Amino acid sequence: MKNVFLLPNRCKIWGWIVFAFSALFGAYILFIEESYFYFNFDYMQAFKNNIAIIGPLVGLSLVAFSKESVEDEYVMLLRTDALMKAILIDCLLIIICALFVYGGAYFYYLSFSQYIVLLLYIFIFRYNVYKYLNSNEE
Amino acid sequence: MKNSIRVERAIADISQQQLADSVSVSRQTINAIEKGRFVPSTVLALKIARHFNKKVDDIFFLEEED
Repeated sequence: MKNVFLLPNRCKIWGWIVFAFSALFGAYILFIEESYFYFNFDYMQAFKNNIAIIGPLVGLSLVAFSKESVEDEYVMLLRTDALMKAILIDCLLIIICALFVYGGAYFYYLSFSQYIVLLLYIFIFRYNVYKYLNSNEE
Repeated sequence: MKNSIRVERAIADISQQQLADSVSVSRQTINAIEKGRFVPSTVLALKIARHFNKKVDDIFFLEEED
């Protein structure tokens, strides 16, 4: 049964590498260089920001959409379950932040919120797979 | 939905792993089906039935609440 396209298993490690490097770079320009929020247009800064924005998204997508070493229809069910929980938690976070977070902190939250649904999906799915592979009772 | 995979395996004297290999899924998936935690797709149900040379409804059957 092959009805969902998934990337090969080896994309997962590349995804983590891309994510780690670009997230570190993003953290560097956000917290150390403090040049992420710029007001005069500058090509170099725009390029650096694009790496910091697109890099983690590409990395996390590679991780999220690559095959498991064991990939069958039960694993696909675990994917769906993880995706639904991730979207639900993401919605709750957005609601909570809209109600209780204001000003600059809310701006920071918005710049991270684009990764939260993917991160939640990956962690919930990994937890599901961990439980599944350890379901040994016969 | 209930099933008699465990009984059929006992009759054929094969392990979960052997059945899993012959229908191209993982052992844990066979375990989940036997425990009733997972309802397999029609394709997988047909493959399992074919493995035991039986019809699908000899192995899988509906319960009252289905």
